[in-house]
Amino acid sequence: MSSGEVFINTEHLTRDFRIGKDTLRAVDDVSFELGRGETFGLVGESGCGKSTLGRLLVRLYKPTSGKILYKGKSVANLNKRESFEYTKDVQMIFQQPYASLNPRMTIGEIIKEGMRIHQLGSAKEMSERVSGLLNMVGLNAEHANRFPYEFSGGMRQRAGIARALAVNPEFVVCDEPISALDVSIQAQIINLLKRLQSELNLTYLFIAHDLSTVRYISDHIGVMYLGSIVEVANAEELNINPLHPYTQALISAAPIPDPAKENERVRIMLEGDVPSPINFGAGCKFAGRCKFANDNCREEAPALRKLPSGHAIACHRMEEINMVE
Amino acid sequence: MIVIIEIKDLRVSFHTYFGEVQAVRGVNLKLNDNDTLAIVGESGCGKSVTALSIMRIHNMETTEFKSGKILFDGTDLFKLSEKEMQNIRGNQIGMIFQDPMTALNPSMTVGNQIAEVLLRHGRDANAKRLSSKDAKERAIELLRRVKTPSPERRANQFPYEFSGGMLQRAVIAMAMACSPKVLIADEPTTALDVTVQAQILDLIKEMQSERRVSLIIITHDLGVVANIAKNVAVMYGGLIVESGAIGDIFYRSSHPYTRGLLDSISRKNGAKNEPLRSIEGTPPDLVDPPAGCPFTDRCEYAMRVCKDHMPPESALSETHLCRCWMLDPECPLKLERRKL
Repeated sequence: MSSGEVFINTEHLTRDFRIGKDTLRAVDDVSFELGRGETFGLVGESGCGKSTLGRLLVRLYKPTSGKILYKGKSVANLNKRESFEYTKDVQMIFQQPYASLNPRMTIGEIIKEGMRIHQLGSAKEMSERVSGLLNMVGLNAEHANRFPYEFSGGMRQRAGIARALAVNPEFVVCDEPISALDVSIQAQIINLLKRLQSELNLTYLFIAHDLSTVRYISDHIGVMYLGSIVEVANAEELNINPLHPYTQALISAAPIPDPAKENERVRIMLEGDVPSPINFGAGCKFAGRCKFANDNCREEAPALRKLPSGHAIACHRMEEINMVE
Repeated sequence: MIVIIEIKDLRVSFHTYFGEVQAVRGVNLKLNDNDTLAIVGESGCGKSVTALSIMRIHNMETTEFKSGKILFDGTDLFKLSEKEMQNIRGNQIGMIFQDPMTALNPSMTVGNQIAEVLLRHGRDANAKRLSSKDAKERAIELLRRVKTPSPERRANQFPYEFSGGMLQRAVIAMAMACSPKVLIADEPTTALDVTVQAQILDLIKEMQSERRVSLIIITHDLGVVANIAKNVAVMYGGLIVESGAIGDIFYRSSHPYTRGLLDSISRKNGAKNEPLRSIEGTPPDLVDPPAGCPFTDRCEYAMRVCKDHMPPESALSETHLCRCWMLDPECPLKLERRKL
């Protein structure tokens, strides 16, 4: 578990994309921190910027402004050697096990590629390590000679995990690693990720759109909406006592697999879809769908503020809303 | 109760490069009037193939209906000509597809696509075919009914101008255009976000009670099932392994696979550091399906008999059917009752 030190953190991280004349702000002024050996869960609906944030952390994208600090050092200021080291230390598990493995390479070659680039041992040592990794993720050594198309989704995701772990990373960004898998397979992969974390002392950023999974694997959870983190809390606390109206709606919208409970409960229904993040004006981004929104909400964007309980929330009317309930 | 759709011993195979895939291997199902039946299972279990067989919209070059019949209001759908079938599709049986982005024609306005259904099947008060003007008006009315904001403007827009949730509303409008007796929804909310999913499920339920339509919903999400279904059929390896009223499946499930599915999603009460209960292994290959119970390889209770002999369907109550050797009176093993 966490040793208390800040392992990786971001400060006012922002990323824009140009779309013709318009600007899409995918990640907007995001600051959060993550201790070593911890799992930070990041939830939100499609288009909220959670994957972009993950990709910023593995440096697949460059930030427009703000910075990422890795063990206290700004990632943008790393020299060439340190940068190279960073690509080894920080790995990613992708959402689509079908699209993220090169179809022309065998599973063994895919796993070995990173090791070869980082020169982690002789050819023989690498082959041995591939067998070891395949066993570790629940595949067989003989699978190294197979091609991705011969595998089912769950097996591919295991191969993707072996690939990420091949270079001994310290930090792994898991970008919706189970959402493309069947229910009975999802539990297998979650158990695997948890076991590997405790064996290898890994730090995870776990991205998902489904709170129930994230709750199980995470220590802390951040909820994103249109590029901003609107609420951060301890995983249990967030599920039992969500304070932001968006988090409350998100939890309320997820169907409970129990017909009696499902029929009884009262849903907080959100109107409409998530609005477009292009050229967003001032004010709280959730104001358009929030039943508590007033003029102040529409004019001034709320900052993420920390409460004495450790909960952090970006909402002007948090106190009034949660008094009512 | 009036049975509106009855599937008897349906067997469907696909001829592929790898051989004959036996996607559905003897399915019996009944859908009552004004009922909601959920077909649940993982990818490749045959749930979509079963439901699409009702519409007969498979690629007929590779698909073979090996046996069985599907009775719709007493008519055997397999005996109808293609032309007769066209009068049923979209008219008496409506369909909602999984991905609204691919279910609609990208080069046609949404309004015209809804109007197309009405032009083909719709009749006015005097049983006359609709004029294109009337059809367009009705299309706008339908868009309004499914809560599309400013439907007049939206009707003239193309699918790419809609969000996923709005498109699925348009698809529902299209499916409901001719007030069908049966609506088949194939994973209608899988491609949508949770907050939008909740809206769409509510809309489907609303339309259902308003127009008294019977619904078949295909899903892998037991949360969606709990929300909408009255009866449930659980499929595995091309077979229905357990079926019953919603309470039979959620509170009295008797098949180890159903139990495993329920266990693997019950993350609510599990202690944090305890591993999730998962079902190890993967579903069987339907090119060469096992002779016995398809779940044998993944079942923690598997006995010798399971491997080679198909378990018979046991009736646990009037509504509740289950295919498992443990229900045989001579079997010493019993399914452990675990608290969810």
